[in-house]
Amino acid sequence: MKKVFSGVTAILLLSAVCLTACSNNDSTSTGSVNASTGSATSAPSSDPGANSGAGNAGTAAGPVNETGFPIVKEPISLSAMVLLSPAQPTDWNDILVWQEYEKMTGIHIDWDENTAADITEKRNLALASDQLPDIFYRTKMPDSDVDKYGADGSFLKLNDLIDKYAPNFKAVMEKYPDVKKGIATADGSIYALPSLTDSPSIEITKKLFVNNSWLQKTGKKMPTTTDELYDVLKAFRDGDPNGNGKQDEVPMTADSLDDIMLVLQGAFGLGNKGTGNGNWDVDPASGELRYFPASESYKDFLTYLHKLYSENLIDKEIFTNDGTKVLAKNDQNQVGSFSFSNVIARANANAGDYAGLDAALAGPNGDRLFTSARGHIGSRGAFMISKTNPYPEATMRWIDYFYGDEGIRMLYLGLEGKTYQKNADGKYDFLPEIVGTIPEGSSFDQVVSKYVPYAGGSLPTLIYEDYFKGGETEPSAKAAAEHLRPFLPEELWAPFSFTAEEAADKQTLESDIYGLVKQRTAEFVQGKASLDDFDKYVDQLKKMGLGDLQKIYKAAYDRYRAS
Amino acid sequence: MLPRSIRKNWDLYLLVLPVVVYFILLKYLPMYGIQIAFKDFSASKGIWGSDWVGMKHFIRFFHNYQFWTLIRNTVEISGFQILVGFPIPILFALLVNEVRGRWFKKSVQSIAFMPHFLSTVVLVGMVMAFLSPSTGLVNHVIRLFGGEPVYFMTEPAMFKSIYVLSDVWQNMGFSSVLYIAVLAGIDKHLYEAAMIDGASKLKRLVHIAIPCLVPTAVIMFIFQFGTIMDIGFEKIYLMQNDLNRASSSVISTYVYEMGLLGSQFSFSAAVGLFNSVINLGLILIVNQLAKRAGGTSLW
Amino acid sequence: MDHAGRTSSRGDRLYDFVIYAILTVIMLGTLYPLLYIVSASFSDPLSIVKGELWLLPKHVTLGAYEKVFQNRDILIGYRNSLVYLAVGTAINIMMTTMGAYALSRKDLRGRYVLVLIFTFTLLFNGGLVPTYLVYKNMLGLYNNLWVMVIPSAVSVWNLIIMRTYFQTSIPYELQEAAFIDGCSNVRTLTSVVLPLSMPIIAVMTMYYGVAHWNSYFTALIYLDDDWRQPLQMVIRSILIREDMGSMTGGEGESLVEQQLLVEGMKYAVIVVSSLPMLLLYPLVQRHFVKGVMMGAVKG
Repeated sequence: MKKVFSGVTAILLLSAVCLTACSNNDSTSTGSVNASTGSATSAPSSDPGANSGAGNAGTAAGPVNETGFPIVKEPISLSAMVLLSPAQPTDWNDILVWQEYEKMTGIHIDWDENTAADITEKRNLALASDQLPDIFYRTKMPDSDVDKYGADGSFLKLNDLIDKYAPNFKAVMEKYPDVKKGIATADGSIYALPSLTDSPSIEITKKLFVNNSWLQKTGKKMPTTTDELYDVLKAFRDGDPNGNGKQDEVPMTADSLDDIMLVLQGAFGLGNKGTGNGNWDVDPASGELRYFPASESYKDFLTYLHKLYSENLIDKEIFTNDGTKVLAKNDQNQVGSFSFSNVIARANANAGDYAGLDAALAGPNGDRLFTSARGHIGSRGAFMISKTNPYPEATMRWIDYFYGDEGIRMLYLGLEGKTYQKNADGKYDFLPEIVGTIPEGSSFDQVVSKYVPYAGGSLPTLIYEDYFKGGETEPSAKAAAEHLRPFLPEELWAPFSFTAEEAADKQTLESDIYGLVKQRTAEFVQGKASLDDFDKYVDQLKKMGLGDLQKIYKAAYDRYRAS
Repeated sequence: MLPRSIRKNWDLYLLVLPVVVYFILLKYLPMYGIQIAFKDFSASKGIWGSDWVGMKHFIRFFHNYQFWTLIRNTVEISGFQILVGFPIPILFALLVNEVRGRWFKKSVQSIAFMPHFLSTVVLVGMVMAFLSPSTGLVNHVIRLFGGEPVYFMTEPAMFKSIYVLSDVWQNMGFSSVLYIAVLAGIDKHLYEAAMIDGASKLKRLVHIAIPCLVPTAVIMFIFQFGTIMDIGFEKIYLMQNDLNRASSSVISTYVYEMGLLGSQFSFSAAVGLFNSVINLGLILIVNQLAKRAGGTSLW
Repeated sequence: MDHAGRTSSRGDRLYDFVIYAILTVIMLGTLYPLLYIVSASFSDPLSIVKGELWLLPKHVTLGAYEKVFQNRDILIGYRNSLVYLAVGTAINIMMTTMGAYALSRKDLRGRYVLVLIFTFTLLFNGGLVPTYLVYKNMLGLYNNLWVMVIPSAVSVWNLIIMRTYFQTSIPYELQEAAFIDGCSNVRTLTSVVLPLSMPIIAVMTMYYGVAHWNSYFTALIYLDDDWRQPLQMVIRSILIREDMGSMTGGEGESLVEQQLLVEGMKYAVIVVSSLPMLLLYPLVQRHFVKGVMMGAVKG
């Protein structure tokens, strides 16, 4: 009796509290900037000017030092959403670089770490509900969302802030014209800072690595055409190159079918402007912009892939594969070739067996390009400042450091003397006591992630090969890139810029059209759909508005050429 | 002044108050969000401030290339589910009811019950473990008989069967409890009278047990049929991958994909609302039919 | 029913045989996957992968369980899930009992309207984003214990089932007598109705308890901190996403060994995570069938 009654009172009390909470909030939540809830973790600003959000960037000199460290006069705290790599400590502030940088700047970052499985949900919820962290730091933000939420006002427009507080980034934009071209929207607004690279080995994103020792065992040469590749893969399948007496060889695999397609499509003349705008390139015959999954050459490409798949030359599990599965197959020496950006992330014990192609493969129609490549922009939306961020100036200064030489080195190598040293030959490297003994079973990335935050990639910074010690700077990956370099497209597009209306229509069209392409491509390769139906598939794409999407891209392309 | 009956019974209203408050705050309050189905939702303008666009999102959905696939998958999976999942617990209950050994009866029931307690995550994990092409038990058996391993989880043709059969395995025992309870409640005199008349056990089953089950079965059928467009999201979502999508995309997963993953919230709200309206219609129709046919109905 | 069986004809004996045979097959079919899981959890993972395991454990080892109990995430998840289960179910039972009792009383005005209003929420909801906004901003249900227990505080189905039980199984005269003795409604509920309601409370405990233990979606959306995640979120990453790197985290093991370990761990995780619910059932089993019957049959 007593128990039940106290329960009733508790619930009544609770509901009363809730009711008042609703009525309080209802009046303020519509429309106006919701700073109080959005950044509850931030310390109160000492300067009212800094709290006013968008457009007001220049006025606040208060707590921010214009140059040098610390960045702020009084310590402040900002909240940030970030994607956590499995190799990293689950609390980002356990990473040495962040602890050190907090001491340098006076800015504490309250990281909200999310795994790859959850980041999309969490990010979209935050954006849609307008409950923004102060910073979006590596959140897998798609370009279309940068445009959409930028135009919507969720992110601050950064142009003025860059001008005043980001000398390093400004210098980067001057140095790399494609960066300047690629990061702004159609009206010149910049809503996000990109992830940049200056390294051919990274910019040639995926490479095909072939098992050299298997080539020797089966008496084959490194393939130079798609037909030769077919022969080699067949020999891998039938010749028992791993010598275990079982036909368990997987002639070609990758994390996904997309990765395999990327390294082969150039042989069919597809993607002849790089991957900067996804599957959009230029029709070599007419010189017009084209969406190549609707082209005749794509049909030839699918025919080839279907041949490989149906003869068990492509991993049967390709549609459900992932990185660890490729690694596991390599550990059992079952793999003849695979597509990835480097060797060591997908092969351990037999990593030494692999080599990249000597040259891009020539296709059946005489095409010989390698098109899994992009310009300097890795991803556009690597870093956004939200409209509720109380200290946009300090935030801009905070991130700008990592676009300058010193900051980049810190991000990738840590602290001189503590984690890295300059060798006699002038090159930088981690200290031997840190990376000298990597416990078996854990990776290089896991070991260095205690000190530096780069694991997982796509950070808002500029990667230099000299500082980056990840897999892409291993000799095998570098050599592979060097061999493919002569076959890259002459021009590698940066991402196009769109107006707000274009971006909205584009997103709707793309979600339907790209979805169908992905699904049908898988079906064609598997043979679930006959390639005789290819024309029907193209018709369907047209019915779904490929023409409209083409117009949007055409307008953006025209602007791109003009600028 | 409140009516006397309320004043006298004030604590009765107090008892129901928390429940009412719960529904208002947690269920009805968010319903203001339904309007985004008719708007172009913009986060910074908020739900109230976004622009009205009428039926735009509904029209887009009706013209979507996946529209019929989604409807077909939704109806097929539910239909298959009802076709198999509805009669089996009834048959099971009838069988159990015929058992006289107490120990056996109890064990059968308890064992049939157990899978119900596994979570969806665990169930799907088990299904995937058993069906794995490289390490799964089922494929070991197939290989033992000289067959090629089957990629069950990536085979669209298999998806619906896997979904429904695993559901039957999980819920047969649990769903049968209700029918077993009804059968246990049948007046024993009926059986005794039948025995005196010399009716065989089979006859007694057909003429006594089954007719007694019909009213309950009809209600359960209405329940299930009314929710034909409303299959649970979790299990399908967990079982889904790019390859089986052709037969595993249903409305609830599509709403999730477009909304939370694709951040097209207005569109996904429109799809969800469409589904709710169809559901409401279905329940009303089925209820009406049942009323006319057998005199049983939900309300 | 017929205890003596003296009138058994040959047909009836055949009939019995068929029924026992079918039920035995069903029982084994249900049991086998469960036994396989348990055996696998005690076996050397290599023998599972090779397909040597059929029923009894091969090369018995406790390695998988050691790994499971060394895993911090699993232990924290376990603790969290137990807390959510206990607090959540307590709230469920209290709210549902109060609501159902009030709704069962004929002198509650507008009870049909209330039931209709509650039922409506089964079909229509505000959608994810509006719900998220209301829960998080207005009700403060975000990243805390309450969001795991309050949004699911009352289930409409259970409310109706319990109401029906009160209506049909508690003699109204008893309540009348209590009123004449001067009892208030609350007093009548606690001292007259509840003591007679153990079966239905057992049923409710089970329904709600299982739902709490098995849910993960709320956690995915509304929980931020790792240390608040329930068990289902943790095992989702092991079973469905096969996120091995973060799960084993063992140093000095090669990748293949780690993969094997995950293979073995999977089964131990299934066993460990399903145990509490399987243990809950026998506790309430006695009341269960009776409760289901009284609550739902006459609904």
